[in-house]
Amino acid sequence: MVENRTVLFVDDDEAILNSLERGLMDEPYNKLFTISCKEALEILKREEVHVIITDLRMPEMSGLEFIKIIKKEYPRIIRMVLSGYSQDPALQMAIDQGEIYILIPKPWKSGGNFEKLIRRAVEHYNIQNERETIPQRIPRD
Amino acid sequence: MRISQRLILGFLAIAMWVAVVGHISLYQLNQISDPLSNDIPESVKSINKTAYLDGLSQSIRYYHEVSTQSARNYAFTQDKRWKQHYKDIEPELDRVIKDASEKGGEKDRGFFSTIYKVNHTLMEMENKSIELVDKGQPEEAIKILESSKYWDQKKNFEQDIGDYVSRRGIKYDEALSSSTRAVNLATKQAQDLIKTSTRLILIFGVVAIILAIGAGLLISRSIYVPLFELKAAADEIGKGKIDTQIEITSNDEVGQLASSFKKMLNDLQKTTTSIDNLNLEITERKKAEESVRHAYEDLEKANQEMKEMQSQLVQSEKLSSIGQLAAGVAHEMNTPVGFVASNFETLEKYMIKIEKLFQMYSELIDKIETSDKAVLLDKVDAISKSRNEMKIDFILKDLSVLFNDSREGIDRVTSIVQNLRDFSRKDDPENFDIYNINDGIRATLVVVQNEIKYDADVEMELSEVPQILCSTGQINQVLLNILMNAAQAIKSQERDDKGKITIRTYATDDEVVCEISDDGPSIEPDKLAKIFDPFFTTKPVGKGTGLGLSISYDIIVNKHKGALLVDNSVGKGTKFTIKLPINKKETEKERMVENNENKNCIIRG
Repeated sequence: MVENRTVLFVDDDEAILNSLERGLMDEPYNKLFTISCKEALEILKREEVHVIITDLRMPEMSGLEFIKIIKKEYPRIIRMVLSGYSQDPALQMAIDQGEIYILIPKPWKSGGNFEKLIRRAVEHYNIQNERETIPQRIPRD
Repeated sequence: MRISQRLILGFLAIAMWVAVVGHISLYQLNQISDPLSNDIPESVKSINKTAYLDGLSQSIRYYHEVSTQSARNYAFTQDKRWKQHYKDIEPELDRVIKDASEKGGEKDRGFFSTIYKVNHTLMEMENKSIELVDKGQPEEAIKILESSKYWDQKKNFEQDIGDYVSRRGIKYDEALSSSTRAVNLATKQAQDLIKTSTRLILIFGVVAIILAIGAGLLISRSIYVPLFELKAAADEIGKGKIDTQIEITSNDEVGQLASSFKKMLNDLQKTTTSIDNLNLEITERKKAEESVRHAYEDLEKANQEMKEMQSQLVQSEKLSSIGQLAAGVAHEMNTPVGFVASNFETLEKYMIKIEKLFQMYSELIDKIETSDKAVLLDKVDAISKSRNEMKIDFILKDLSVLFNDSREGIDRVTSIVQNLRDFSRKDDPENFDIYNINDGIRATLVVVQNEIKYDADVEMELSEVPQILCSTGQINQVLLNILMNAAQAIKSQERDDKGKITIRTYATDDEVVCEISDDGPSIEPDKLAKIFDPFFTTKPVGKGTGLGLSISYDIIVNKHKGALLVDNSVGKGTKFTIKLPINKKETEKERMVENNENKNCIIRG
């Protein structure tokens, strides 16, 4: 189930994307990487994405704005934040309002918790998906 | 009545009195002079007349004696001198008799004309005898003179004149005694009058003196009593009893003076009232001054406390701006640290995989000699499979990228740390250090990069500028404040495109100038004047302390004797200009020391 899922990473720093790519090399899900929210929205138009992990401070469009758009247009996508800027009150508010599934602060530690968190997000998507599809699968008399 | 009128009246009364007295005295004197000028001259005249006739008759007697004797002597002696003597006397006798007959009264005139006739007869006879003598017939002459006719005549003449003289003598005595009586009477009368007059004048004089004294006393009393009252009132007022009443209602000058005085007193009372008010005001003012002084002292104290607080505030502002930065810097640091750490973990995984593959290769090498070809090929297949499974090819290819990325990440962290250190290197406000503003700008930009880079592009036009002596930490703090403000101003516009911050440096003869302009919203004119005020902020609550620019101003203007200017007149945006004085001597000296001591100094920026 996890293998068919796709996780999209958004960060304006290529080195971050590189390290994520190599760190999550062995993870079973598909991984997409992009350096801007605009590009991410483009990708979303053509690819099915189940989890999005985004940075907050980026030029053109900030992570929170991006998340708002995702919530509105792709409500089923699990929204995650990977940021070194975790004191932003707007971020705290977003977390409180349930717009963000999990906040992972930078620096993250790969090789354990980090991978688990992403996988849990994927699984969360799966559970969410299952719950939504159950009524369809129960045969009716 | 006025005093002048009173005085004039008084003097008039006295003058009238004197006039009356004078008139009476004059009358008295006239009375005295009446007998003197009428009775006495009358009696004197009669005495004179009597005396004159008496004298004439005596002269007639004498001249007759002398003339008859001279004629007789000439006849007997024929001496010419007698003739001459006779000729001299005879006319005199004639004239005296004529005179007496003219002067005398009726009776006297008859007597003297008789005498004149007799004398004439005698003269004819005597002149005849003198002629006879002259003819040389003296005997004839003596005959005439010895004739009885002559002697009769002569006897008659002498008889008559003798009678007359004796008669005249009695008259003279009578006249004298009557005139003496008259004089005595007049004198007595005069004496009486003089006595009466003297008494009268004395009485009148005394009365006049008493009157004068009385009038004087009355007048002076009428003057000095109210004057004295006035004086007393003035004394009372002088003692401060301002409400003293003056009871003078007379219509004279003193009354006028009193009314003037009352008016003055009234004014004085008013003035005193206003003085009292003034005093009250002064007292109040003094109180106010006192309270102002208190307030001033309080202010001084507050100022002292403020000064103490200011350093704390400066510190807290610094902490605040650092705190604000910390998040940004943390992110800036967290990103490279994040991927370097991740890379490091990955590298470990890579190592494990590589070790595993290496192990497999080792085993293969060990079995090359002992095993047959089929086993070896299996092994190689297994290695190849593992190699694919473990994505060793990707790993090998990625390793250099990983190292490059990590090195770059570590460099970024190093740079940030270094700039952070440079940013507030040696933050000792007492000891200034050598500072190049371009380096300061670069160091500050690294620190604020994270705040700016998503919202604005920074354009730098840095010219070669001389080094100056200043507090690096403080000036960088100012640059930081201004750059942060610019970035936040641009960000607040929520615009689609990026803003632009331009940093320009250049040097004049005695100043290093740094201009930081942005194309964000310009400051409203009414706020422009306040931007250097402490606690003034346009940012939302909790976003700014309102101290950044105030402290910047303090640092540039007070601590470094420079200038901090703001200008938002140029089109859009705001321009801050920092001017720092160049202290050539000291900088040169310091630079020499620095060059000698610090050859390995870190190149900043």
